Amino acid sequence: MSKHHYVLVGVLSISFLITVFAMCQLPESSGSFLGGEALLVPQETGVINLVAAVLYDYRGLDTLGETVVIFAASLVVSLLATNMPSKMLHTQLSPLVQYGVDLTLPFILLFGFYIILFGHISPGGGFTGGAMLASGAIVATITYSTTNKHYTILSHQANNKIEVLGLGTFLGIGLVGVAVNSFFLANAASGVSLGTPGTLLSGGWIPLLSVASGMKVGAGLSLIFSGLLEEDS
Amino acid sequence: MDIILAVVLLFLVVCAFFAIIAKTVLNAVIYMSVFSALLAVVFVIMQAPDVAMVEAVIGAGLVTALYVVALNKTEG
Amino acid sequence: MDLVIYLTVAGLFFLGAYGLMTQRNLIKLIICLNVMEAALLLFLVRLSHRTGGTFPIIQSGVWLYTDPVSQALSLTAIVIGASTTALLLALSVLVYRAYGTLDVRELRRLRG
Repeated sequence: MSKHHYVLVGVLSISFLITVFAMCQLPESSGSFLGGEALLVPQETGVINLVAAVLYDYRGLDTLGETVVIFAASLVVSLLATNMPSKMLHTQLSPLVQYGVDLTLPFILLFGFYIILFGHISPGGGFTGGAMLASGAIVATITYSTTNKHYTILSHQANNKIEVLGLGTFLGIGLVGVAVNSFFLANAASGVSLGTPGTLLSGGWIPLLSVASGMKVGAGLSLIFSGLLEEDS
Repeated sequence: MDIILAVVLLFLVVCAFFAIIAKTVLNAVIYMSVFSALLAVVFVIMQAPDVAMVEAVIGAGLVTALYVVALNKTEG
Repeated sequence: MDLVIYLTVAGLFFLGAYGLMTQRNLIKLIICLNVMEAALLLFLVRLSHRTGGTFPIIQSGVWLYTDPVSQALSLTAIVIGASTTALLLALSVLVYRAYGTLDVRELRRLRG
């Protein structure tokens, strides 16, 4: 505990107090901010999950940019491939773990697909489901890899293809809006049928965009993991 | 519900404190996993189920796996 | 109740900042960055919260919902945070391969 240490703690405590005081000036969390506007969303977009409506309709371009960030991250992590030995691939896990993963892995993947497909009528969507599929792939890689074989559910090339296909689908749906003389990533304005809000086939392009971003995020995150895990070969 | 939220927030700060002062990095990683799970509980209580699901999957599962791989490569 | 959440947000943020300034291990520094990021996520979700509002899925008979915009914002922030964490971890593994240590003071001594 040097003198500098006490100065640091003092400065941080004063900043803490100032921050709490400043945040207490914010308005109260009550009030009907979304009272009427929220009920317009099913008519405009055809989905009842407001977060999905914001992600894939009103702010679709931001979602596209965000998936490109994951694309860039997976690219850079693969580029920086660190050829260090990773011990965890060479440890034999106990049979209990293997049987447990045998039993649960299909359900993890099934739940991921369910979350992607029902993202517009229940909590979830492409990001959550994609991350679940990537987690399933990671669990399989850690459990089933042996000393001489690096197990993966999908090969590196297949993951790359899925990622590019997801990005291409997203861009293609966006360009449909431009092709019918509307704006980029137009949903209702591009003339697609919205269906009955609350059913599986509703929301125009939104379920397709959800599937595309699910493919993109799932393949991208598993590429990031395998890029980080890569060994000298 | 307020009391549950207050208790979970207290556990959140305690977990972050232990994660930061932990002696070994592996302990800190496990504390961060618990921290993410508690944060998901807070999000559920504050009526944000979408954010809670993403935080539970990515924070408690995926990022922990990434940390463990990096530790495995740097401590051998 | 708001005051407790504000205290938690500020506490987590400055706890992370304290760790960022005092810890030596590069991976511990990444963990401190994650703690600060979690504080910001909690603040965003607090901004979306409405007293008595339900989760943002339209149901018949419910009129008050929490704000979906900042929830969508924090959702993308989590996924981007995971990819930046992966990038930082890959860079620190490269640093370990080049210098054989992750201690930032040692690294400063070895510069050049």
